[in-house]
Amino acid sequence: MEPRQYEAMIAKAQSGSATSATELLQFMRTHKIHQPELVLLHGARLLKGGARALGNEVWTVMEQVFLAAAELGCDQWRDYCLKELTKKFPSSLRVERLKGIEKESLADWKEAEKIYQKILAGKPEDTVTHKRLIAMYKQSGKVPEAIESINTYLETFSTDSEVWHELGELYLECGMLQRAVFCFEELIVHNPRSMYNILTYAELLYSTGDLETSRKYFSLAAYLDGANLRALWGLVACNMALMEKDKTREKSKQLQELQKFTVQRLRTAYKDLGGSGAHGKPALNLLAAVST
Amino acid sequence: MGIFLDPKIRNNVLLPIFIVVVLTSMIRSSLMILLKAEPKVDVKEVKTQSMLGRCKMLRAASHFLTEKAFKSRKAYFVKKDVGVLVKSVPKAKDPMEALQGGSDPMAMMGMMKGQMVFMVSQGLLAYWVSHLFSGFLVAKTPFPLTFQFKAGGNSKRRSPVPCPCPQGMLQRGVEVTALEPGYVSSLCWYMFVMMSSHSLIGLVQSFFTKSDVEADDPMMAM
Repeated sequence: MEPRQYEAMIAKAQSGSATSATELLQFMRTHKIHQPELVLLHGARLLKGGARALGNEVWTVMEQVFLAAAELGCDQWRDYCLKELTKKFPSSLRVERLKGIEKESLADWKEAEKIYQKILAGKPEDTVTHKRLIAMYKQSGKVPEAIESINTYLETFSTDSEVWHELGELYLECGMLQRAVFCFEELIVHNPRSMYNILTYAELLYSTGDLETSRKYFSLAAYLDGANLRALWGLVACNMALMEKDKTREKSKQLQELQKFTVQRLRTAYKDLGGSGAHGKPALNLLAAVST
Repeated sequence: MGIFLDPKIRNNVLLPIFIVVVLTSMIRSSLMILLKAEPKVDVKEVKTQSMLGRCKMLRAASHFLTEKAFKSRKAYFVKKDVGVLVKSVPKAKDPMEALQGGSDPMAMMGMMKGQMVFMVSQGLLAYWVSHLFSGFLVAKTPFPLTFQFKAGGNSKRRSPVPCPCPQGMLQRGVEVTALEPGYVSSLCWYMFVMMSSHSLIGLVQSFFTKSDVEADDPMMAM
């Protein structure tokens, strides 16, 4: 996807031709661009202008418009699209799922849950619906249910790293750090070179008090990317906490050396970034405070 | 001096065969979509597969984990008597079973269905053509062909059409030895259209979708 392509398409769709609007909607679908206002604007115009011109695409566009309308609370379009889709595909599971989304947009969580559960009972391998169910629990504030649902999901689809991530975030939200740690370990297994995974894991370990291991993972992150500020600052914080805890001579010396080295690296990193800037100065001041 | 082909043959044989065959293959492709059963997924199978996948990933990324984390996961999988892989040994690992063709019978059914549609329609069409139009010469190639195509054609033939008769690839069904090899018989015309109809339809369809998109959009080419 070229950087300017999307903007150019929007501008073109603005001008009013049906073809360019269709293209824009298609583009948004394939690239998973989330801008419901735009979808509603152009999709509604297309549907109004006559479904015949859209050919077979009309149903996809209708689904897209439905999702956008449900999100924005545009009731008329939502109801219209769902009615048409139900008429066209009376026995489709996909439409059934849309009905659940409709109920969600009305904040009728019970009904939505019932619909999703029904789909899942008939087709337990339907991952999209299961994820929808989890998202619904999360949206309605039922975190324990969401966690439970994720756990049943992961029992079968244990390689879905997205869901592991979601579970980790939810555990974090409830303050169950040990469990979050486990989820992020799983994420590291999935993608051991991801900076995000390593850093978050290290920070989690720091929070749980496992400083030694945390230091190791911060070091790993700093090793992978020597100029990563988050990793270096994490290492500094870790070292400080370790020095605080452990005052014995031998180890302390090594730690101090590591600390000195880290601070030096941070300094060069900030220098490379320009040294000044909004947070460059305070950061350097802080560094001076740390190293004394 | 060649044989003069009656324009009525063009109207009543050449074109009908072409149209019927093309239409049939269009119908067939729609029928295939219709008959294609929803693939049935065995949840248990998925479960074991993803579990094995997780094991594989764990093995590959083991040196990124702490010893404790790794050991607890290993124990979850293979600890004596309680590990999930010990308790229910995944069956898919048995190579003999896979060899014996005991794979999913439903999958076989799906393939059979597709094959059946193909075979039945092909058989009916071939019968129709050979019954109604046997013995017609329907066309002549616009370029001269050597006699290799007729007699020796059998040995060097490139055409995928199995054609056991000695008449060569273009004149099946017309038993005239002295005929110029450039003439095409109705049966061979049918074969020809059948083989090429698929790509022909694809070409036409791509024209339609493309022209929709690109008609007023020179930017798309960039």
